Amino acid sequence: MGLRTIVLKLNKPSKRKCLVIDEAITNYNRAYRFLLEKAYTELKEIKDAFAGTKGTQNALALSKWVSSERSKELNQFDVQPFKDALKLEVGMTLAGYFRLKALRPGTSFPLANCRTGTEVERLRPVYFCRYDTGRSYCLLYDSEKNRYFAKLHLLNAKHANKVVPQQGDQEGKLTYIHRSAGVVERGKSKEAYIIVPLSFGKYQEEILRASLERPEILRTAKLGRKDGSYYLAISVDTGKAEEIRTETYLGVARGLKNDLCYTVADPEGNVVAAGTLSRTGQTSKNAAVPLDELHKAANSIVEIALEYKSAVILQNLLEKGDRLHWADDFMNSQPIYNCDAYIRMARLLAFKLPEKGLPAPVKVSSVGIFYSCHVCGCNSKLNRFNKDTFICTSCGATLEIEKLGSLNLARKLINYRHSTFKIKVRSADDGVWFISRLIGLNYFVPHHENQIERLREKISLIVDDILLQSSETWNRERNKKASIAKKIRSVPDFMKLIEFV
Amino acid sequence: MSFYLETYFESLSKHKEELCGDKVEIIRNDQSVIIVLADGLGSGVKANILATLTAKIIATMLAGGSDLDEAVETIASTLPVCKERAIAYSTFTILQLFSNGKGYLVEFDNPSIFRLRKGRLQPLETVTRSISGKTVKEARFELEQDDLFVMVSDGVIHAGIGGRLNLGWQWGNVAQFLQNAYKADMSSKAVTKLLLSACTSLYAQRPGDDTTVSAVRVKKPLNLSLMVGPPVYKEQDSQVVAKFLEKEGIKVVCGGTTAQIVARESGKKVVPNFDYFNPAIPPTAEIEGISLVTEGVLTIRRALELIKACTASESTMEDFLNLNNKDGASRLAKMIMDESTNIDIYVGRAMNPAHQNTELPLSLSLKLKLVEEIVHCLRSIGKQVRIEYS
Repeated sequence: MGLRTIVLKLNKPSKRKCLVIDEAITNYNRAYRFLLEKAYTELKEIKDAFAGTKGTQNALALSKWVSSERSKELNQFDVQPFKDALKLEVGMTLAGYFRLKALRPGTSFPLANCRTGTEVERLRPVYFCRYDTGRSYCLLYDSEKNRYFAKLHLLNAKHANKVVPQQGDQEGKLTYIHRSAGVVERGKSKEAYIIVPLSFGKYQEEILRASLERPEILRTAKLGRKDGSYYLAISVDTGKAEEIRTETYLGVARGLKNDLCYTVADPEGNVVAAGTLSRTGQTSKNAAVPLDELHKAANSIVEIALEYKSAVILQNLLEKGDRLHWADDFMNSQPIYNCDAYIRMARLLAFKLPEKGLPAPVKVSSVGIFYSCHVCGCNSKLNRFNKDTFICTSCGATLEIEKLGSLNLARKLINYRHSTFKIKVRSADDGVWFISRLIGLNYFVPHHENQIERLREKISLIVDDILLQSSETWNRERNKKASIAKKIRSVPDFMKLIEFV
Repeated sequence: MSFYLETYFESLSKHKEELCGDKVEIIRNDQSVIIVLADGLGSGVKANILATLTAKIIATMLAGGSDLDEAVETIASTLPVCKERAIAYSTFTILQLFSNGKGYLVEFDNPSIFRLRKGRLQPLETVTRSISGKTVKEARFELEQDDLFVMVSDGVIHAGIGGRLNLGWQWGNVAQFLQNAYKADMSSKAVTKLLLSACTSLYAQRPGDDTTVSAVRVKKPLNLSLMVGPPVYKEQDSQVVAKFLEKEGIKVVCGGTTAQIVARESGKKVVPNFDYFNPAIPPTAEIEGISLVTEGVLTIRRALELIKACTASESTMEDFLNLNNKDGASRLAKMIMDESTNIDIYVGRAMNPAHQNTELPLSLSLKLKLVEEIVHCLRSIGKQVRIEYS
């Protein structure tokens, strides 16, 4: 399944419709908060009652915690059209909370912010959990004018209105984007929905046009308000793109002179292509990078990755920094993409790449990428000669700093595959101790036994154990173990990966 | 105190030129080493002739006891005149270092010499005077152990000009780089290779000028005693081991049986070492008082490969970096190359059935051949090597 989200703007809804939407969002949030508060008082019971076979909880199972009695209580908020959606959302929230709590015990319980007077824009959007012509939401199409509309079921029966179609309304012209392709009939009974025209860009139109042929691609949606306008974000299943087998690595690093710098390396680490990505026209260095520019950069990276069939490797800037900035007596240079811009671009790539059949980008540590020699691997801050130039103090190799960063990124996975892990060897009178905290090895082999063979067998057993452990409860340390275990399993002779110290 | 003066130089020719317009001449005698770096006007054949004549004349005259004024006057009257520029011209730097700790420097239009003392730049104080119309800078100074002198032609300080570095790799930048890259155990060859490697890279593999680096490292004479193989007659064991242990400096034992003999005669234990594992090289061992104990033929053969790679004219920085590996062969090669100046080798000629062909005469036996090749390589780079058979 290749899910993507398209965001459509509700085009100039009338005041009445705005009121209906605002009220629906407020009511939805009040009901959601009501359910979470209830859940908070029963957390322990919920956790135990809905635990799966692995001791973890899934969203669908947790949604059943909202019983029919509790569901009836929600009527006080006039949220009859959203009951199923609320159940699912609460289930998802609780599942996420339990998962996060297992990883970080200090995680606090999420409570919806919907106190009286809270602005609608700060509230959670209304979730439509299904695409349906009779309830929830659906899209409509005016073939004469080539216009699209949304039909949003936001009202309960009590507040439904009798609508008398006016002259000029699209009555008889609007058809459901649905297999039935029925015509929308209005004015016959009270309507618990509103119909609003949509506005969008070319990209979204392409997908909407495809939905006319295949309405089943339209899935769930969310309705929210931002900057005074209303938006409908629809999940669309465009199908999985044909998977591309990657042959090279594309490292994309931040730059000081250019926005971004990229290098494509083959599996041996040789440079296949390299270049820079920069915005055209006047740009202010200190200004935030606009979203459309991030999209353009991400699209360019996708194109390069497609051309060279590359796995994209990005900097992980959430933990340690890359120390790319440069300050001396004369200047203070900051990367053109600050951490926030780079992370936002990485998020765009996380869905843009899979859309084209390429794997999601791999994020690796940025530590030393602008200070480590691309030839000998020497990592020293003395290697940076000036803002733009790298001269290795160990082997004399030189390169532009920006190119160096992307080249080191492109080679990160290759280097990781060839990197060794250390096992401490300690002699004792009657044998040898092999110790590795990384994989949890603390093993004694007597002198009269074949020490290397015994070690090999022991490591195999440890690796089996690590890989058998449930991935649901892994934390950072276990992730490290798992990563090493996978690496050990992936090579024909893992003894070559070991460095005895 | 007397010093061992380790010298090395290397040049890069300007892109598309077959001959280098820089020339280094080194003349050694018992008391001193004279190094002359000359940079001929222009490039190619003409510059090469000018530089060669300058370097040869100055070095030969100074070594023969003439003074600087005579040497410079001779150059001025003998150098061929350039048709285009109507001048006879070659810049030069003369460095004369005496093993008794004195030093003498003359510079004429070349970039100033770099002197690093304990890893920090310490420029030499020069006085200016005129000889035959040429303004030269002179300095007299004292040497200290571990001083490093680096002479460069202007190709070094022009590296990267207009390309990777707008204003080139200026003198101050090169000085900073040398300080950053300085390591106490760096040989003169490693410094030279490193600097030239950086220049090549800054020139994007296309040098825009002839580029030459010559380095001199002032070292305290360091002894290394290497014992390879057991003596032919067992009764000689104690005598040979006693002589070997008596020596000052680094001690290395190569060979399992040899190690057992040294341990037995010195009353110590041989303890296997698990510090480093490399399937290609047998592990090392430890005997108290011995710096390194290795396996025999396989380790020596690999050490010879490493030494050959480093002493070859086409050696690269990677060859030197290989000496930093932790296996027995790399450690042996590093001790011989970087940590010793005078080497005594005690070669035992007892036959090891595993390594011999009975049809071959003794002199061709594998171990001896390997040792002889090591000796040849070391002598070619100026190391004092003494070999004793038992």
